[in-house]
Amino acid sequence: MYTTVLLILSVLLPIALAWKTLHVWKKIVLRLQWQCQRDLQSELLRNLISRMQVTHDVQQQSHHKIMSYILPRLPRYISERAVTEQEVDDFLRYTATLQVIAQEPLLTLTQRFVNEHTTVRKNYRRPEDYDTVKEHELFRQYYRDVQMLWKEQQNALF
Amino acid sequence: MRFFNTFIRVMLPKEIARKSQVLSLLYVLSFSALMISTLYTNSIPQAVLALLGTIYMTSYYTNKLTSPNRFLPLRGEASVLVHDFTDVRHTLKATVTLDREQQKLVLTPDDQIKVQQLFLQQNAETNDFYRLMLQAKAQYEQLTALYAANRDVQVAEALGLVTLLHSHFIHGAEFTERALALPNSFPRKPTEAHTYILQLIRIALNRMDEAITHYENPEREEQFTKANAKMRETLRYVQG
Repeated sequence: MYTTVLLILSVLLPIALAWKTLHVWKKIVLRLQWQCQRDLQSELLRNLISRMQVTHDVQQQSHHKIMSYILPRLPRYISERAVTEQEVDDFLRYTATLQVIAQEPLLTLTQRFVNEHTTVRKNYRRPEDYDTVKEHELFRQYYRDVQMLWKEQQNALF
Repeated sequence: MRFFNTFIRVMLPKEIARKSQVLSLLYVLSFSALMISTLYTNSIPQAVLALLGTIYMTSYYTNKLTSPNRFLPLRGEASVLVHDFTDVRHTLKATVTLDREQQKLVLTPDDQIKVQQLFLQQNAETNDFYRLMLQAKAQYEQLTALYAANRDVQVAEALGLVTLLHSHFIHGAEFTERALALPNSFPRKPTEAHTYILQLIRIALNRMDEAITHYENPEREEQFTKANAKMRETLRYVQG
């Protein structure tokens, strides 16, 4: 009787071990496939984005990117009546021209605004913490700085 | 903003499992043969040897199949599918090998180039965002040349506006693609808001194109003023 049991065991045991190991192997290959796909996809997207970029200089790219912080907040500031539409229009005109004719001063101003605004934003935990007064004050300060820089440049040009 | 609409899927063939299945069969047969032969002997040294052999065999087999840096060499024809949100557009066969040091599956370089070209061609045909950004890039270069030639304030403003538009949208799209790798990220497909934004960008860029091509005309100031105003309006509308 023991013999029969041991015989059956000696066939079933290797089959069970091999089954489990093949299962693990299949999982590993699936994971490798998924990683390959992810790497390929990210490589392709990076290639696509680098074709769309105007410059491959990293510093220039970061100079261009900095306005991405401010542009999405403009509609909110308009609706909260911190600035009027005409003022935002002028603001965009000043920023666009200054970005070409006086890039470094504009960058300093914008960097300062972004840093101050990030400090204010860090204390937000819930949607009710949105401090309208401080945000508007910061943005109006930045707007005044930009306007001042623009006037200086106008006087320097003409 | 989900402006990318072409994706890749890699599907490995079923034949990759062949080698490991053969190895498993060999393992099972030798293991059971060893155990059955031990059952019918009376000598202890043979039993000890059989035990050691079993342990060695099992550890070899398990290591071979469960640690990727010791796998049997994998090589197969994977099918790479290029698809958008609804269905598969193209299928490509690419050879995939296992790189043991990095523990990754890699495509051969020629196949990688082929896949890249297919992806770029697909985007050039169907991805409106890609085409608009290329148009903006061309305008950036034209305006830089124009501004370098004659220091016109309007041209400076146009150049700055095109740069703002271009960098903002590319930055946003890149950010969204990376964020979508995190769980619970939205939107997964482009919505009508995206189509609307693309339309606005298209109108603004076309106006700017007209203003640039008619730069030699006497009424270029008006045209540039209008084109700049249109660009500013688009930028004001951007919600991020």
